[in-house]
Amino acid sequence: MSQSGSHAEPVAASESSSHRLQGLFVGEVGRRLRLLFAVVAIVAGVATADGLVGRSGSSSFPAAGSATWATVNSSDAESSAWFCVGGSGTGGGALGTLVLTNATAHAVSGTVLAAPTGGADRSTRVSVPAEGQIGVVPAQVAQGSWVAATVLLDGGGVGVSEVVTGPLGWSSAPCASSTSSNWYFAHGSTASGASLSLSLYNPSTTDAVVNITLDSSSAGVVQPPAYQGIAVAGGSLVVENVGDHLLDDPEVAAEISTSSGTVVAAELQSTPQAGGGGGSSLLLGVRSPVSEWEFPQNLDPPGGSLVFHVFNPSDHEASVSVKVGLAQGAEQPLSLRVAPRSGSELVAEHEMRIPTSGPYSLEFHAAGGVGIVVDREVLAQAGSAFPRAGQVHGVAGGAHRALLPAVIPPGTGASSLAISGLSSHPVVVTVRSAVRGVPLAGLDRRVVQPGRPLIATPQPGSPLGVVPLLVEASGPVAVELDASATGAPGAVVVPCFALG
Amino acid sequence: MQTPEALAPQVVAVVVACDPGEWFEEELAALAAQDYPELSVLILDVGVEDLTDRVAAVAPGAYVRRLERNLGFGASANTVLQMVEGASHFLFCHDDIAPDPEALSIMVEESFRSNAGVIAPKYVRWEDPRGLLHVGMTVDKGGAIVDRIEPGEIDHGQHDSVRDVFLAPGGCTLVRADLFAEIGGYDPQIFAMGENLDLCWRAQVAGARVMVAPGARVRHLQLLASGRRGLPDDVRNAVPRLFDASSVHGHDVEGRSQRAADEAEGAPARRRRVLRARRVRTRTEQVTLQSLQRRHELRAVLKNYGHFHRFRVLPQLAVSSTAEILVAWATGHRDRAAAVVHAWRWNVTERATLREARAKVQATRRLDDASVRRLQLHGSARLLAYLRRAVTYGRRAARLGHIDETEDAEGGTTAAADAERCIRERATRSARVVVWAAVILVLVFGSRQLVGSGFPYVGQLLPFASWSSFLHHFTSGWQPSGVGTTSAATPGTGILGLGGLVLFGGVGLLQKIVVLGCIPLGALGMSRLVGGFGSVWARVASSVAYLVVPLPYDALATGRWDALLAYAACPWIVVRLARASASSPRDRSEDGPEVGPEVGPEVGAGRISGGPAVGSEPLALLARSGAGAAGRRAPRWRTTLAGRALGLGVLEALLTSLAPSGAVLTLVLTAGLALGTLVVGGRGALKSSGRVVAVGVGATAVTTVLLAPWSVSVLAGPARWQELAGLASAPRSGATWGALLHLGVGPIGDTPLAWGFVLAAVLPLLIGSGVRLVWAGRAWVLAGLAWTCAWAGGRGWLGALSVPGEVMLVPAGVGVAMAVGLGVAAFEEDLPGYRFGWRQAAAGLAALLGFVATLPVLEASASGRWDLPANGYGEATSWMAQRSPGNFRVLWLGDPAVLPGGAWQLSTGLAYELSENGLGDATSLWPGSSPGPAGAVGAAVRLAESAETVRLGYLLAPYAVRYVVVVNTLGPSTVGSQPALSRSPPSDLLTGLARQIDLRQLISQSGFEVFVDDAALPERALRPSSPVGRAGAGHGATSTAPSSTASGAPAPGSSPALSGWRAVLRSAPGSTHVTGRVDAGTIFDAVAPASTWQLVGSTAQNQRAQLAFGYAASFRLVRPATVTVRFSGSWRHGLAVGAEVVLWVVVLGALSGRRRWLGRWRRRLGRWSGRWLGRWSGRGVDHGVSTVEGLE
Repeated sequence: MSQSGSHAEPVAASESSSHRLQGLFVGEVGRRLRLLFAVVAIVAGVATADGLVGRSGSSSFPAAGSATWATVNSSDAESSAWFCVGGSGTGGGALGTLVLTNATAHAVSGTVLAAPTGGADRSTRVSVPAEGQIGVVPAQVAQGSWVAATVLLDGGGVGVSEVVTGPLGWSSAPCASSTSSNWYFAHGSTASGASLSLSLYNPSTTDAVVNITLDSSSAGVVQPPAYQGIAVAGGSLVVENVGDHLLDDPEVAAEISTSSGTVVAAELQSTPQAGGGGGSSLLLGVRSPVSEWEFPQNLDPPGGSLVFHVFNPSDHEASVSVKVGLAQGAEQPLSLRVAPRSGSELVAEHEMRIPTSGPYSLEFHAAGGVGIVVDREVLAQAGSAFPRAGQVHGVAGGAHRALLPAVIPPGTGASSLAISGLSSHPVVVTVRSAVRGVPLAGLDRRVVQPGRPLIATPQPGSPLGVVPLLVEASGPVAVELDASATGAPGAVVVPCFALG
Repeated sequence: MQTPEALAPQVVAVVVACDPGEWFEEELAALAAQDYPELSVLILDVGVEDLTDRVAAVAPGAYVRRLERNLGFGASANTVLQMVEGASHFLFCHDDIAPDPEALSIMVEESFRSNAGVIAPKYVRWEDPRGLLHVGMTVDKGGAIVDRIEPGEIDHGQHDSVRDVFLAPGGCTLVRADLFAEIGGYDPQIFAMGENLDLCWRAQVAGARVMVAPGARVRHLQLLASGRRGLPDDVRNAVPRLFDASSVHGHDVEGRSQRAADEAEGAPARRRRVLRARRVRTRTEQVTLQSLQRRHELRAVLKNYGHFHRFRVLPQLAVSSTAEILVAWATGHRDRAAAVVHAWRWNVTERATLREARAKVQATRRLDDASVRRLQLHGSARLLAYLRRAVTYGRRAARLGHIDETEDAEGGTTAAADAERCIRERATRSARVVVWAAVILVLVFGSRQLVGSGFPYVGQLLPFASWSSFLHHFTSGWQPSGVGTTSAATPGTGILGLGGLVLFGGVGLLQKIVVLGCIPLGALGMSRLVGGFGSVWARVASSVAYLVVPLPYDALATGRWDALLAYAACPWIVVRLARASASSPRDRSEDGPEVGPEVGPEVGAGRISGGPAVGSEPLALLARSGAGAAGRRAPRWRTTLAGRALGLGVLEALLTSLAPSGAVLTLVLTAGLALGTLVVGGRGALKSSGRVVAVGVGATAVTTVLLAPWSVSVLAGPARWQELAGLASAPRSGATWGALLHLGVGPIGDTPLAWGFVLAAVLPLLIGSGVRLVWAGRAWVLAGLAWTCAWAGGRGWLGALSVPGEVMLVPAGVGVAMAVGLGVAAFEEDLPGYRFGWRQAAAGLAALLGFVATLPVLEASASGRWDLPANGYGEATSWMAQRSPGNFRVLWLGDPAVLPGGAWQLSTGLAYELSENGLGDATSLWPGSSPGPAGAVGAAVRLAESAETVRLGYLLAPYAVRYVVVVNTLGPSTVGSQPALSRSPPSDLLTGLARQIDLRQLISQSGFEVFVDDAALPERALRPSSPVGRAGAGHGATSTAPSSTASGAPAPGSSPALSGWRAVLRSAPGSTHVTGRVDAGTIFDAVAPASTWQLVGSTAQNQRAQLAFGYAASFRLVRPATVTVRFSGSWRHGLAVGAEVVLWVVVLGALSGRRRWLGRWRRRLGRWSGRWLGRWSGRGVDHGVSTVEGLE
């Protein structure tokens, strides 16, 4: 081919015979086109693939599932620990009882270390029988007004929750399987005689410094000086009464963060009602806000109220859509806008699209990945059975396998079990007894459609609520086991554990 | 009445002819055509050929006189003193001149008008009379000749004024006959080069004027000075031997040389090689034109000065000559040094004739030296000229300048073209100097803080260990990585140790050289890579582009030493692969023109117009056919595939020993170049591609052998690919495709401006043709492959072979920079061939983009440290050693991109490593492909990460892990002052660590978090009581015995196996022996393998270690004693290291091309064996060997 640098156009037609390609892709012109095509193909091809594939894990928020449900690690774990906080001592209004539920086929021994306020730590050895459940009262191990506990187990497969009982009834919450530097509570109240306590437990040996920020409906964002720089020594418990700083405030959200160290935080809400009664709710805080929350089973209490509190601790406004799941039919989603660092509420009875006669599920979804915290407050009609008030966080993320402890307080049982699928596909669910390992009648390989919760009520002789249960699903599900003999459905929820 | 012609003085033109060529007739014709009426022509025939017939044919009136032998121009010309009577002037002519018809008339007229004794004409080029050669010359006091005109100067009449000069250049010199007779003619000892200097000097001493008459124009071919006419053998071989008069005339040398040649004919092959080498050495001692010039200049000085000036000038001359010799030797200009030495040697040997000549000069002296020197230059003309050339053109040009001092060697080209080329090259070189000066300024300015204060301990920029530690690390057979291993150490540690030794222990300086030197080294390689295309600006552009791509600075900013090494090495690797892609060396003429990377435009013909035909191998431009720039011929075997693979293998081995990813990188380069060759296509593409693959793969095999046993241990390890490719960051941190394309994967390149070079690199694909298009295509395919690999690797799709993006992008940088350079070459060569249109606009846009692309790096240079964090983890964790009672380990966890030192992969985006007593040194950069027993530490971390333990401290305690450091950023991050690259580890890790009840968090700040394990054993500990249980002391749940009654936190570390220990025998990190006094009890040493450690005591019995905690060593001591715990290595390791060193020496020696030392050793071995055999057999020494030695 011509190599002259003075040619007007480097045409290589005369040399085309030396090439295999014909036509345009011949000679130097062909080579140029071929190279340009190759370069463009590589750049554009990979760019297309890059756009299609994207990058994993780019979300700025942690994965759901770690927000509310504690995870029971596998049975062959070397060790595990649970941190329980919120219960009072023997003289307090919310005596705490630790519920250790063993989902494994072998006994697991461990140590319960009780850390009271104003007293010395004490520990005791425990052994949780295979597929069994035991209760331990920390106040019996160590004396104090408030008693927190660390449960250290020589293995895995055991879930630990705490049940508080008192004059206003009882409540249950899971213990924390890890500490955190941030905890969030969507709602609390100091109005009408209600008391709101925040318990801060530092189970580690590292001292922690805690700051509490309150978001009040009346005072806005408040950072009481007394709640800034709270020193929580390693292994100690600090309990703060929010009412000391926010009096008669019906809407209080709390955000707890540490300057150093990590803690476990829980909220104990006591809500007396006029004329006696009321309720007491124990809530373990949410470690990180997430954008999706699920309430598998909701039912308006007759004469009472059902309120959902949405707290947006982020710096961005949250646009929240609320999808109502019905056994049959469908409703248009509701929408909420929650300003940054503020809360909002959804009163069920005020919404026409929320049914009043039957159970339904609610799914809260914040657009744009903005993290929110949502809980549900149930107030039963005066005169109902105790407890008449209850508060519970929603389920974030769900799990494929879940452990449901038995309902501990005597005289109680399960009123209903609700399972809702969190994926967009139908989920096959089986509920079996952890003790015997056999499916429950009517709950074997049930298909749960998206947006249509599966709700089961115990039949006579049913082990539902009596023994620990295992839920196995082909997709992520949210499970809610409501306790019976309460003033209103959903006032007390038995905590669930995700099985690792 | 006499006619005017009859009144003209008689002039005899004396032509000394020595076998002239066809131009001689033109000279004769020119002489015959002179308009001077009284001119006689005398031909002194000193050559072999009889010129009578040729003279008669052209100038029938000329006289021809044959001399018996060639005595040189001066001595031959002197014969006219005996042959000619009555002449007024002599016109001494070379046999390669052609005067204009009126030249002689003008010269004679001027002689009378100015009363001058010697008249010189204006010399112009033979083929192009517009080009000036000489218009008179001058000298300095040392006799150095300086021309009055610049090389390549065009004759515009600017030098046409008649003037006095010190020296009338030879060729056509008019000398008054009486003056010539009075001063005794030419100096007969001066054969050539300098005879006119001496003559003119003596003429002036005798009171005569030397003038130039530019109106007389003479064309001159300059056969001798340009080297086209060789010196006679007797002159060339007349190397003076001090105190050996017989050798002065060269017969001895000639005889020896001839004898060696004769012997070589019938000698065996081995001896022929030796004899041939001997002949070559003999030739190097021959007399050159430069030698003649220098010695005759010196002779003129020694002869023509008076006593006072001679003794004044001589010491200065001696000093300057000594300095010149030293500088010439130091800078590799040995011919110049040899010429100076020759000058002094020759004049010493000629001292007798010098004395006689000096006496004659003094006898004719009419002017003192001060008057004679009025036309000399002040100062040292040679020194000034050298400095001027060195500054203007570079050192190599300065070296070549000696040709310009005498005559121009480019006689074959037209004067106009030469002048234009000269001006262009000078302008180009000046611009290059400016560009490179600017580049160096930016580099120095941008690195000023690093040069001054050193590197922070971030990433792979860990402090260098002492040179002895490096060597000990390489040779000891035990490495402290993890908890200890007997895997072989990389030879890189040995190389760094040797480097530190060479720098007298200055390992800090070594680190700066190795780290910062990568940048200019890479640019130099890029210049070499593109040098074969013959465009100076292409070299400059590609080098600058390679210097300005963000890769090396991002590598510095992120502490990626491996990326820097790859940056330095990749262009050189591509150069070697490119050479390999050329056709077989057998297909090329060994004497063919060489325009290769080694031959710059300064010395080579250089420019390549167009390119080879499609399918012919354009790599011939890049391939070195054998001869080097200095004329040395590389061994032929090195141009074979095996030889090229060996050469590349050594380079790859060097790179891989320091950065193991170099092996993978070489294969990527090989694949990219081979693929590019196939994509570009053309005749022989498949073969060429195959050669590239063969050399690349072969080089990797060579690397494997050279790096054994380290390479073997790496390949045998479970994490071999991770060790070779490097650890992968989390896929979420993988750079976007856009970031990869503009080579911006770090803080400096993270700007849209960095797109400039990539876009500019498209230019050769658009406007290039021929070889430039071919290579631009290959460069782009290479870059495309690298980009794709980096993209796929960043997403974890390449598995364990995911080379970190910073490293994998280096080949892309090479391709882009190469394409930029080719764009410039295309602009110079191809663009003029197109009509004005979009191509010109594209070229302009590319230039603009290229300029814009330099801005990010220029901006980054302002910081003085290329955005490298000021503080590293070394400073942030220095407190650890003070807080701990004994030796301890630190467990480092984090993303591999930010983790300091080398590590093992734990999961995607999470790696771990162990160090002793704080942050480790550079020896931890090569942890090996297997963590060994330290793998249990990683397993424990995984348990914590997956929430399967809350007692990580208990699990880590037997491994002496006192601190756990989780790094999130490249260095400790300080808001506002030190932003650092952030790569958070998996969120489950911190959650899992926070869950641990026996880890205490000490520091939690932006950048890193530190946990302390209070239960950790010291690295060496003593428990006075019960011994360490082998089974029960192991880690695991079985040894857990939390207290059931004690108050306080659960104490999982209170296992009996972990309690009761106290620190003993503190030592430096990585020690293989430690001595101290120890009480009775059980000594625990947290090192592995336990079986390789032993206890030696003055009073205690030596004992091998017992196994503790499943991996560590323990010893029983029954009474207090001073003991030494030491590593007892295997002799096999020493043998392997020794064999490795020998292999390197042999390979490097073979590749250096200087195999004489090998031959010497071989002969010595032969002699020793001969003696031994002789003794054994009683026959004495092998005489054949002695003969060779004698020749040596």
